[in-house]
Amino acid sequence: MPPVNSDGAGPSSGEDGSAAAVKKRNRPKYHRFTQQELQACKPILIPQTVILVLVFVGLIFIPIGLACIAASNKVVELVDRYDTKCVPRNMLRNKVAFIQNSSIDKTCTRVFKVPKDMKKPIYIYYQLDKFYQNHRRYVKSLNDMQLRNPKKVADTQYCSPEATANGRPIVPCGLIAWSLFNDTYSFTRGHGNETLRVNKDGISWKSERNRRFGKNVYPKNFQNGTLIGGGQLNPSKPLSEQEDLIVWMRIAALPTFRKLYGRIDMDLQAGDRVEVTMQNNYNSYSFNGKKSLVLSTAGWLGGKNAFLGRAYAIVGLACFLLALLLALLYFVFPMREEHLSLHYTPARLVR
Amino acid sequence: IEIEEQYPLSPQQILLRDSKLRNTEYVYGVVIFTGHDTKVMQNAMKAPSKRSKIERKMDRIIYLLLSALVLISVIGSVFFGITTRDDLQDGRPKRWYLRPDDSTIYFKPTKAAISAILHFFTAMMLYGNFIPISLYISIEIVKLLQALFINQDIHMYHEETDTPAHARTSNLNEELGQVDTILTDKTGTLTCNSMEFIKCSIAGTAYGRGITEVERAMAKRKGSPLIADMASNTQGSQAAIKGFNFTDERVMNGNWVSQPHSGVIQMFLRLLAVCHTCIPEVDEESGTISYEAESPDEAAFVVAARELGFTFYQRTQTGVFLHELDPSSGKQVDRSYKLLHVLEFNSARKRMSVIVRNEEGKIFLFSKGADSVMFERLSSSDCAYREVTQDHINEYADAGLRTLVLAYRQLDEAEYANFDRKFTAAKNSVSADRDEMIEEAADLLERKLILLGATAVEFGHALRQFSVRSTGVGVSARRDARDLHLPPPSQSHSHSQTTST
Repeated sequence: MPPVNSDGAGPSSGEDGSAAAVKKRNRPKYHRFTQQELQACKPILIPQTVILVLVFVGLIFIPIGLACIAASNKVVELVDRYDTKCVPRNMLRNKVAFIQNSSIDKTCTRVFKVPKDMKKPIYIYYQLDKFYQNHRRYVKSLNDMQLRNPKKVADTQYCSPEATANGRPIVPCGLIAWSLFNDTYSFTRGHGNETLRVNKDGISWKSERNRRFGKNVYPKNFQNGTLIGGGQLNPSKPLSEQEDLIVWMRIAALPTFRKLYGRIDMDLQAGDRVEVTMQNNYNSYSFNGKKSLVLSTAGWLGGKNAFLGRAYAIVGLACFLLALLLALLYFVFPMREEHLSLHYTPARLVR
Repeated sequence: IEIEEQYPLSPQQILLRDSKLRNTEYVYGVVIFTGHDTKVMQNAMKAPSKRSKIERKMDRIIYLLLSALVLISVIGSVFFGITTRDDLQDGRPKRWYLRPDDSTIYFKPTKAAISAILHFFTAMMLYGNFIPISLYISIEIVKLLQALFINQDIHMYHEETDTPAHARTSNLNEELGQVDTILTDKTGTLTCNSMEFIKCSIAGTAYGRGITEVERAMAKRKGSPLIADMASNTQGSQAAIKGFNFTDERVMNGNWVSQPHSGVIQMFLRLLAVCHTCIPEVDEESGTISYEAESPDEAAFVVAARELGFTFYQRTQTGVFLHELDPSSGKQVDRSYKLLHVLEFNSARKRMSVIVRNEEGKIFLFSKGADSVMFERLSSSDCAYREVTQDHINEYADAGLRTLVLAYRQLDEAEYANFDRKFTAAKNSVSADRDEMIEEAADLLERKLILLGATAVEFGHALRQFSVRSTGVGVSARRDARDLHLPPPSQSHSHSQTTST
């Protein structure tokens, strides 16, 4: 016989059921958003769909990669490392003494052989290795207000130790300007009979010439300290026209970098002999760095760089291989019917 | 000599926490069992802060990122120290463009260790963006919107009680639905805590034409659709009253007056309306009466009596008040009964009795209880419909209903005075065998009862409302040993565990 009273039963209300039908004030109103019944896209990944998507991605990526590689291969690039070869043979063991001795002639002559036709414009770069322009002390050592505003000449707050010289502020101040690159290059074609003019206009960014460097700010007291780090500046030209300085003060993110020196607005033919007369002034021997001169043309993707093309090609090839692998697995282990149906096994009622 | 009246102090007079005091004009306050050694004080502790799985996983991710940040900073600082020391060799600078000969403490080659330590803190600040602190804010916003969706969910709205879902805090939104097994000790526990008066047997006549769930299921299995259709037609005709599923034209709407045993029926309904501990609550606006009861079957009995003409509408400390249908005049008559004693139900006695005095001064003992204990207390002289009632009780039990036997007796003044003296003395005693003395005094009175009939109450089965297939929740219940008259099993049938937060 079942028990008469259920154990632990709380108070029970014997209220009329008809009265409850009237008040439905607390019932939530129906809306498709609040009931989370809006339309939604829920893709089901079946082998056919996945294989097709992978093949499609491969078909798109491989042509892009090949086009990028071809564009990079069209670029003609000549690189010449000259820091060791421009040191006299008797001072090879003491290069620092050579570069720091101002009485020694630093002139050096290098020869380029042009392997293929180079269409104008031909860009001239200098390349430095193991030069850490991204060091925190180096990066912080400048004052943007001083570069921009002639009234802020005395703002040398972050420029130490190159903030003042002989008690007067340096314009432009800081380690970056102080260590300005000062090698120079001049070019002739043939055997000294034709000079290739180097165009140095517009080698810096237009936004930096217009906004970052002031038109009325002139170099003052520059390289007047006990130590001279780099090149001199023309005191009669404003900073916005000193494009070598502007190029140098766009800080490189990595220790190996190239910076634009100028342009040659003439075509070079295959087999041409280009003779470079350079002034080897910059000290790269203390920190065991390298100096190189680069002549390069430019394609629609920029300079000679195959990384992007190779990345696209590799990803496309990987997609093709994955599609092939999935197709083989699909044929070797075909899917059964229960894999495709979505149902759940109900829990058994244990008694 | 004036004898001082004594009142018994029993657990009934103790007001525990969250108790409500009703029908009481004044109380004497006695403070007992207080202090920090009591169980309620020892159980009072600070509630632990609940953290969900997502937050714990997020904590682990952030600790991992913090470790990576510290590792990167340490390695970077070590290399920074090494290269800073190498910047000055024999007084000659290597990286001359950094001016290592004229340097602050942050970049001084001669004190490279201090520079490395300071660089560690600089690196920690520079790389601090590794730690996604705003992730906590984003997760909190997502949970807030999720709680709003929970509050607006129509599927979580309960129609019967007009209660929507209410997420009081959004801490544990994603822990919803973690229950996978419900463990009970017997199947009777899985009810809706509601009972319906469906059948009764009065003076050997069975009343009530309702069909129970068990009968409907058996009818479907046997393949007789007539009973199922009849039940559905009957239920649709009348308005549903909670706790009352009784249909019989012979006794409803006052028709019991013309039945052959109308006197027994009148006493039966009066017993249903008096023998309980319910408290009525009258709605001020509509005037309807609802009942607060200790158990749902008591409420079902009082509702049944009300529907059949005996409305219980008021209770005081010493009295019970009814609207009764008078068979002689056919009108509602107000009657009151002085409540002398209540002999409570417990699992040992399996019965409950009240002793009342009506307006004419007669004393009655009304009793209801299980048939196993009630039939042995009946008077041996009245055997007219005893066996028929027993048959009805067996039929009701087979149909899945719970049954109670109703009986009464009239007491004379001398017998009641003797019982009152013994019962009050037993209640006022403070000895160890107080409960036994009370039971002995009550047992002497609950004898030679006159049988009235039996009631049948159906459980509202909550298992029917479970959709086990869709929720994936398994139910594991051990059948009550007393139901089968078997010795309790040596091992439990339940092996699964319930996950809880």
